[in-house]
Amino acid sequence: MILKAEMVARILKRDRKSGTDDPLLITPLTSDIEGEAGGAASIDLRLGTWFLTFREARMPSFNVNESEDSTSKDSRQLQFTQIRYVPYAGQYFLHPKSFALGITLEWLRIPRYLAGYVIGKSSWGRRGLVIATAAGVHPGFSGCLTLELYNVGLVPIEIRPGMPICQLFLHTAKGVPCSHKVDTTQFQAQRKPMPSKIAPDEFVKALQRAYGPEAYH
Amino acid sequence: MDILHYTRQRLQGILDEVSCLAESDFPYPDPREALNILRGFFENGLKSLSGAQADDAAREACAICLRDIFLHLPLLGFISRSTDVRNSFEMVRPFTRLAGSTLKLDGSDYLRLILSSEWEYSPFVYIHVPAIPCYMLIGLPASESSNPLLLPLAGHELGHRVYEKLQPSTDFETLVAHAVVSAAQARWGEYKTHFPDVDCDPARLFEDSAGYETLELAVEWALRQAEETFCDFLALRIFGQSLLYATAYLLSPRIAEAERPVYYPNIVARIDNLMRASEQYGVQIPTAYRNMFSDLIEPNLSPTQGFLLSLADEAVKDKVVPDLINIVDEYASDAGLPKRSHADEEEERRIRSRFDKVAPAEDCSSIAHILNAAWGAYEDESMWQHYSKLRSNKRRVLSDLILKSLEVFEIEQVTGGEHPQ
Repeated sequence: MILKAEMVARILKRDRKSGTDDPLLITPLTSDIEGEAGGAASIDLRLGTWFLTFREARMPSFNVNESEDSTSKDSRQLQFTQIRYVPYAGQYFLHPKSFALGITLEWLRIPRYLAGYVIGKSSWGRRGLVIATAAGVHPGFSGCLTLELYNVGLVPIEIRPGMPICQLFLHTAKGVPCSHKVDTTQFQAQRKPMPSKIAPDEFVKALQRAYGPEAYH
Repeated sequence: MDILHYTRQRLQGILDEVSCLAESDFPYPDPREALNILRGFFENGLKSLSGAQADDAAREACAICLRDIFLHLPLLGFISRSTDVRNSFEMVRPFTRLAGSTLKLDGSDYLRLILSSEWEYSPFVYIHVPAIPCYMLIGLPASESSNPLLLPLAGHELGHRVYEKLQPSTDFETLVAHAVVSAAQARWGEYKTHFPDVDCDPARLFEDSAGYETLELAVEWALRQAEETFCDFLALRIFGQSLLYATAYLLSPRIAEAERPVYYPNIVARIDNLMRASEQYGVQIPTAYRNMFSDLIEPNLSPTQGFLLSLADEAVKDKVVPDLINIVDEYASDAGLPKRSHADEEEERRIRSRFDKVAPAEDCSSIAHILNAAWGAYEDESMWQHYSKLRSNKRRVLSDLILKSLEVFEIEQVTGGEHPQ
């Protein structure tokens, strides 16, 4: 069941008062979700100040068969990506067909009984800005949301930190709640956008073993 | 070979470099404005050489230009490094705000701050930069420049500005001179072995010009020590316990084989001073704090200089420190920084509870509360005990929580702290 903004406001208020150890938190909450947006089913989130771009000229490709050693992955991320800070009074020009990772200004903490998804705002979508393609926000998520910003249009788009950039829908998550109040998988508890840490899963590894060059020797 | 030509080329080289740096991505306006001031400064230098002939006056003008290049080139590096994303830019505005209120600046008097990183470990180097005297420069060691837990140490740098501001009304020099003379009087027999030619009544040592002259070096050292101690106290008064932790993080136990600078008390004495001030300011001293530190090697001085340094040390420790504790306390209260109370502990517990829930703080009344709560979290080994991934990344996650809290604090200041919910 999707929660209307007014319901989210009530949960935020309730959790703030009760001091529960598994609260819903949106910090800073700058949108008036009780007032004008009270009837809406989503909450606007704003663009943060950090961006991450790829150093294409250095990158042969994304390869999922990379070593799983986390140190080498971190150094590869540094090698192939560039982090940028854009102050609130500044702007970021997203040119046609270009891609960058952004981040929400808001830090979200989603309790075990809620889940959500983040999508673009139609006002931006109609100008050609796609916000997120991997939109799920799982129960127990805590951190700022990484946004996949892509300009599918033909005209450069100027975006500014602090502007409403996407919308978050929250709904109740039924079933057995996860054991931990905070989900400690990847993409957690960070204020800067990070590229994904893709690693081949066991199924892919098994296929590689069965059909790779070594299988024929 | 032409001195004037060489000098013009060197100045042009600096101006080209300034133009190049001006194209950097500046995270806030102050570093760019500093570059503009420097550009004007060097353009004036270039103008001063126009029409100059190869005479003594021109030679002197060239020497001045070379001195200016010599003094300001490191600053260009400092400004360049201020744009590096290794720095935590979220610290800048909240600290500037704090510095402005601590210095009691009104709206029209804008404090300019550059937060950058140093490629030497000694942090927060205080540089008197002639071309940009209104700037405060804070440089963390590059390997720690993203670490917001060390922000309390910037309070020491702020202390130099406050000390400068207080100098006209507070006669630090007389205070220190009396203390040094008093220390010498108490050790008159020893004094006479070092200065047998001084023939005066010890009670009149302060007034006796020949006698006082023998103590000038001790007074100079004690005055520098007093300034550094004042800065430690101001940082402590503003940031409380987090300053003690940050000091221990950066300096404990000591730098092996390093010689103690004469213009600082030795490490253990410095820590004793901080502990003494902590008691008066209501700051809780971490357990076994003093044991974390040991002294640096004393400098290799002549016996007489060694005696003078011991007089300076004694004077600061016994006579000056109690006064400095009070001066800083009064100044801070006057600047609207109330002494620690039960309410501060309550607020820090509330912030800590947010960190426990892996969420940044909001509705904070100062950045000191955020940093004190953060140090409490950092030192608590049981924090996030059920979350192994968070624990293994504790410093990174905690840094992100602190920096997001500082950003939220700043947004609340700008928007009036209204929460629609």
